[in-house]
Amino acid sequence: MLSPIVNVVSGVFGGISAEPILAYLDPGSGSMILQVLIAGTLSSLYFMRSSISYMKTWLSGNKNAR
Amino acid sequence: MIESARSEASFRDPSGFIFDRGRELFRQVNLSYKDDYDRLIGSGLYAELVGDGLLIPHKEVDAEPAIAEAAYRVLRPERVPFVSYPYEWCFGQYRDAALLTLEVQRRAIGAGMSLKDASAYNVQFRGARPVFIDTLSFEAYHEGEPWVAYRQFCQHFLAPVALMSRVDVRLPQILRANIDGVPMDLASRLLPWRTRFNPGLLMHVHLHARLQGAHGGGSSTAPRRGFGRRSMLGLIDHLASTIRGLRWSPEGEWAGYTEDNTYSAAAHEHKRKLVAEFLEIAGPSTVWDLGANTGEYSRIASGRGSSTVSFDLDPACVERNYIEAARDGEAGLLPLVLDLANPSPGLGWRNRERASLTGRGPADLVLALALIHHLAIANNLPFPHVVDFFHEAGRWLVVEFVPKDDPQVGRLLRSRRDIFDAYNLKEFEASFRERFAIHRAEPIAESGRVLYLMQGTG
Repeated sequence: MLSPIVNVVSGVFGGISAEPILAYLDPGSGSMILQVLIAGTLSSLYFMRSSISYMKTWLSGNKNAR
Repeated sequence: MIESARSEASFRDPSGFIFDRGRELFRQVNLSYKDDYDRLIGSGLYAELVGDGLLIPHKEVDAEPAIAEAAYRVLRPERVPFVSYPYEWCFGQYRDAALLTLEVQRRAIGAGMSLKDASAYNVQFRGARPVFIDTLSFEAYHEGEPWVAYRQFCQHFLAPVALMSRVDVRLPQILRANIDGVPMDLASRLLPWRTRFNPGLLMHVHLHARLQGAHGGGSSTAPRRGFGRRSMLGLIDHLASTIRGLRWSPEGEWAGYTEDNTYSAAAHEHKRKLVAEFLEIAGPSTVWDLGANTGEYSRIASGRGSSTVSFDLDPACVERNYIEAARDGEAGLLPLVLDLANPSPGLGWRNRERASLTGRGPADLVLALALIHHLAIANNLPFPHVVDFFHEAGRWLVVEFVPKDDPQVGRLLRSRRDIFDAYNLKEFEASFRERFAIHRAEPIAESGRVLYLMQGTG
């Protein structure tokens, strides 16, 4: 199920790898690429969750005010 | 001059290391870590984390460094009462340790820093509360860069917790063979196929394993951009919600927890009274309760101020013990999973990186209640072998002799030939007198059992 995605991702990042990130432990190329691949999804999910949480706080704040 | 001994577990990170001098524990901060250390303190992150009980506190001290030419500071960190390892944690402890690490990372990002490693060995327990112990794990956060410790977090935390929840709660034992956490390909192969429908496990375990496979473990050339602050916070949030969604309940296949039900109320009360009395006489600072079940007698020890580790083989008992200890905010009670017939060995580099069970002792006092028949009969251990182990584990010993006509021993012998002629009170006492002085021997009311208070000799 995952193979086509993995192949596409590997092809894209295999070609445009930039300078290495230097850490004292090997962060793993696959692990770094995965994060960049899912960055948009994570960012959107985080925005949605933060917004819902903000709305909840705002609504409960309004209720308390009443 | 007192010799400094560098910790055998502290060598990977060039930022500094732990060392012992006399009976005191120190951490040397190296000059190479100066900027990050100053940022940790100056940003207020250290004070915030310590204030909320998430990071171990330390004092900057004017002590001689172990390696003077590399040193920037010498710290004296608070000592945790007992060092435990992830393969000794129950499910709840493992999950809480994972969530603690993510919370530390979330707050670090807020302060312009990030964790450069996410090892499960960086978390310890003070009673039932996890605490992050590696003060040198923080580095400056460069927005746009992915989390360098993501791989380690998934191997050390997400994979073991997922395996405990979705396959078998005993699986942290895999960590005894894999010092750097569960490899992602192994975790992916062991998890049931249906876990691909869990978005968190699909992303962080299955896809992660495939990408690692495609790119090998070689040098990390990866894009430096495209991972903004919101993505980083999203990653932390997503990992946390994935872990929070993983559950395991001590109900079900692990029933355990029936041992003491054979006591009458009077016998039970008498045993509690004797244990409390013996603890008062010995006055231990540290207690190991071996075969503790859900920790009823451990609580007598922790209640009188002894720092107590409550070991049991059954993960369900340890889980119940931990849930109760966490609920009550027990500061002096640490429940852990341990098979006494095969206790944690020395592991890692030269077998010295992670200490064996007895390497972390001895305790001032060992409690061995309703245990002797499990060792001598269920595990075929002759009394002298048991005596040697107890002598190594503790200075004082409270041990309960359970006679052969006891229903619990009968249960163990039900489907076995009785080859245990030497299992009797006379042999028991003779064997223990070889290495212990017997101070008290009290029959427990309404039972054939005898409770002993002994002190190690020689």
